[in-house]
Amino acid sequence: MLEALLSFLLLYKYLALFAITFLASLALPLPATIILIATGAFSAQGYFNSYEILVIGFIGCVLGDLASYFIVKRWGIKFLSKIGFKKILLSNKFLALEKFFLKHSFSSIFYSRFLITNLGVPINFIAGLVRINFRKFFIPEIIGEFIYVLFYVGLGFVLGSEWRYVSDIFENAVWLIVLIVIIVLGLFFFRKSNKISY
Amino acid sequence: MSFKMPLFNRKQENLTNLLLSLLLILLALLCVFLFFRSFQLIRSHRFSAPPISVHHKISMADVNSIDGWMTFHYINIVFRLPENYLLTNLNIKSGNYSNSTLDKYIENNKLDKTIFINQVKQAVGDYLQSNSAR
Repeated sequence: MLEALLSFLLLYKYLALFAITFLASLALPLPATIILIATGAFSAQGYFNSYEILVIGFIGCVLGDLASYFIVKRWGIKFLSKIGFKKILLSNKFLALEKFFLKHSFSSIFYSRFLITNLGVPINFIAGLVRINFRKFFIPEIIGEFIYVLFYVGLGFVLGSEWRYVSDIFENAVWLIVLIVIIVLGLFFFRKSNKISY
Repeated sequence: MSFKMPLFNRKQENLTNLLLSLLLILLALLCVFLFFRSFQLIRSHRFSAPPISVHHKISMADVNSIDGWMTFHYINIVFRLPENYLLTNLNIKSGNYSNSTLDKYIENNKLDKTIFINQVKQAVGDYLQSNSAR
């Protein structure tokens, strides 16, 4: 999978970079972070222009996030209710999640853009589901994605041909952070929703 | 505020809580696994050179990173090869070779992957050596 994407990137260059970052931010499980690191490394080797990949990567990520946010905002609740998730949407656990998200929307969106990147798509979905105000979504989105693209492309640029090995460690580390965040949030909602119930 | 839940709802709630607890324990175990895997990866790898050096000079160690997903065009750029160097050295017949990946070329010409990639590495290595000798 990764090798096919790398070939796609080498063959179609900026168009491929845009497509991968856009689709990964939209919802598809594509390794956009590794692709950004690789693109940074390729730019250090003279295959890409660093400024162009920063701009195109940033635009791809932002447009993908906005598309998923708007799609879920417009059709999310209708769709989930239709396929049998109505009870969950009305449950105490979802209510607790909604309250938490509205209270911490900036930090949730901001950190999910570059630190706990694997939660980016679920956060877009939640933001759409709880119909958060566009401006509240857009500002942390722009700042977070800017840091995300700059950091990972920069990392690839500095690492050069060592990028592939380091991206493995990074992927592991990001999953580790994601799992810890999920566990902490899980415990938090667990306690909160039980408090609401009894 | 507290109130009594109907027995059925309470049972359902207990079951949900149990499932959620199990899920959290599983995630915690996965965390431990990922932590040790990262640790092993870091221990097993030795950096071939300070990473920043690759921007200034391409080393022979970089030749070993040549792989099937790379395009001929990419290899030409990274190793600063003349446009037709691989074409003549590897007896490539396809005119549009530079926009093809090594894997695609191997597949189209029914070649052995290991042998062909080793030939590419050899050709690139020879070029780098002859250029550094000058």
